[in-house]
Amino acid sequence: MQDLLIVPPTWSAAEATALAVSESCVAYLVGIPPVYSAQAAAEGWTIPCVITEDADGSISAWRAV
Amino acid sequence: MSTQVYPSVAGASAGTIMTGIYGNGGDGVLSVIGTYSATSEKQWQTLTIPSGGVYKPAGYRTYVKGTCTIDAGGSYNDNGTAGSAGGTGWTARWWLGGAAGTGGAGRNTTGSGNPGGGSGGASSPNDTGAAPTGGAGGQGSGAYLGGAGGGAAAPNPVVRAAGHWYQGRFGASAFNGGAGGGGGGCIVNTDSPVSGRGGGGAGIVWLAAATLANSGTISADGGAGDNASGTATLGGAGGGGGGGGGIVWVITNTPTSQCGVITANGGAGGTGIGSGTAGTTGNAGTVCIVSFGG
Repeated sequence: MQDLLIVPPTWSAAEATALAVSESCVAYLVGIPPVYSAQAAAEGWTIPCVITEDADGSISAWRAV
Repeated sequence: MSTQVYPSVAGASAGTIMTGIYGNGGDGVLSVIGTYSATSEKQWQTLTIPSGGVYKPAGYRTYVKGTCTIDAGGSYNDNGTAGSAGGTGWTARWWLGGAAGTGGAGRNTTGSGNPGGGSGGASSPNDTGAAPTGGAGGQGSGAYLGGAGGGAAAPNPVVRAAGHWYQGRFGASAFNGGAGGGGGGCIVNTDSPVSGRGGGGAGIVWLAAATLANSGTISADGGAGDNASGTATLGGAGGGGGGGGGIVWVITNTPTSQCGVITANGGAGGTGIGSGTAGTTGNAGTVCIVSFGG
């Protein structure tokens, strides 16, 4: 299980990195990836947010930051 | 380490023809900050691994539709575990990663070192050649000698890769990782030496990136053997042998000469104490580069 940060495309790498570190994320994504778009719409994800990726690759939780 | 280069399709149109091999980018734009472990096959739009970042493919293929950037100090690897960290081998993993061997345990009583574990796993249903077998684990070759290095990954991966490099997906445990290094031998008299544990074998790496900007490292290196420890005024203890190297495939439009550092080295042997000798370096694995850029 690992946390990933999702940031808006307008953010700089420095901004994204700083928030990812402060939120204990191992990586950040720029924008919501197509593969998660349906789940994001269904669950009302807003960005920036942190998503939790489980060992099987599924996203088990999200939280706004 | 053998490095096989396949500029398999000649001509300027080759990269265009093979566009599909780099995936659809559906997993988005990823930048690694700490250590990211893949949980499935990933199809990134772009992948960036800055200094200090580590991407662990964990036996899954990785596609990058655009540019895969690995800065100096960044790493994309399935390296073996160091003996000092337990030398534990990788378990069999879907799609690519057969099991890698565990390093042999060190010992604090007189005797030969424990052998490293061989890599294991079933052969691929798509494998028309000989079933891949990992090298045997190194043996502690004497009462106080360092452990031998583990064997490298599948014995003839280049031949097998030549027929299947574009696919990568074979089935669980299709390719075995490197074998574990042997633990060092030990002679105990009035003191308390402990021989080194062998390093774990490396796994399998498969990366297809349309453009590769690699200033860091891409690797499947065996884990280093642990150093012997304790005191040995009269006796001695050998270091652990290094784990065997794995297999790395890289497919890209970037010219081979610009692909940067890509390795499948055996792990270094650990040092002995007293009359003990150092462990042996693990056997090197194989790097296969398929470049459509020449």
